Amino acid sequence: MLATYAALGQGQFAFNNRVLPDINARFVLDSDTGTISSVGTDGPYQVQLFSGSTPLDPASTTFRGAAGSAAAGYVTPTTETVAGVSPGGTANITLTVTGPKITGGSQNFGPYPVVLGGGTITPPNLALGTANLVLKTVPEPTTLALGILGLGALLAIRRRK
Amino acid sequence: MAAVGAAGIATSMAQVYSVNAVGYVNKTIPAKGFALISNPLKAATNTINAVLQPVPAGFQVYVYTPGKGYAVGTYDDLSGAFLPDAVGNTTITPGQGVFVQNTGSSAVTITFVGEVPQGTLTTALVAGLQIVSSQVPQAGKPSADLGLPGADGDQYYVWDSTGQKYNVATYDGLGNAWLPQEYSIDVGDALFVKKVAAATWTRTFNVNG
Repeated sequence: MLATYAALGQGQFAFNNRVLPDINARFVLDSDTGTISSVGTDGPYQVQLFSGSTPLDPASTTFRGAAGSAAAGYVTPTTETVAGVSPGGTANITLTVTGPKITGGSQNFGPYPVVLGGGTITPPNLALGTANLVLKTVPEPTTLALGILGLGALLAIRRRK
Repeated sequence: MAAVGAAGIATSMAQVYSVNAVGYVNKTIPAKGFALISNPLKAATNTINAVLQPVPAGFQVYVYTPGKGYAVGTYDDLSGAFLPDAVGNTTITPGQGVFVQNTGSSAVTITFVGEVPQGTLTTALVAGLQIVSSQVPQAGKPSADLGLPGADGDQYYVWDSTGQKYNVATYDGLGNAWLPQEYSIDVGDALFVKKVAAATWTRTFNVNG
């Protein structure tokens, strides 16, 4: 019962990075080219959501499609509840994307300010815009190896001179 | 905003002698606007995916659960359904309602097809806030014409799709009336009702009178 009453005082927003035409903010890796996204279910990649340092409810979501598919880079939409902020109040939302190829294992986006809905106020979409959200990746081993070889060759040439 | 076509809806009801009355209701959602709508007819399948068609990519639906809040679904053209699946598969029957948002730059017309509910129709009203609608597809004032019960302190919120705003009526026990006035709803509209105590919205309706 207490949880029910508490929930009534908490604001909500919708998290979806594909709400055409206003929102189309696809997650991609910086190594992706063209219209391909490698951020998919097969990472697995996921997005954690925070208001300040407080996790939201639900705390995370996954991606909709396998890497390379049309749905890759797009999240499974959620309706988020922000503890401690009432409908009509503003929350600053940070997204933390985790996945195997991301530098350091995770990358933050935001904060995105949002005036929360709830009660008779419909929850707004998190305004993510229409540009890709680019994740910085760890260079592939082959790329690293080539780089080291190139550096070695350069040093060898300079020594000979 | 709603167009009604039917063997047996609205004023031509007395001329219809079939046991079941089947018809359709067109509901127009303004461009870049919200609407608070119901599913005015009993369809074979009443899920959001089945009922809210056709809609463009990005069209959104807000399902309100008393005590919990909203679940938001977005129509996704890649999958041809509302996402997440839990929202797309939610059932909305006559008596219930949802908020929708047309994110596109053109108005959207949704056509509801199905049977007119008949008999003794009851809609449970919980204490607190909820989205409900008349089970009978008729326009009018929620209480005076459609039978919504009122008690001292009860409120209802009717959404004005043209002005994109609410009109709020409060039941006043001193004068036993809705103040400042009752606001009419159209066929296919829903409304927010805030009840002080649980009650039942009951209506007895038969197409053949």
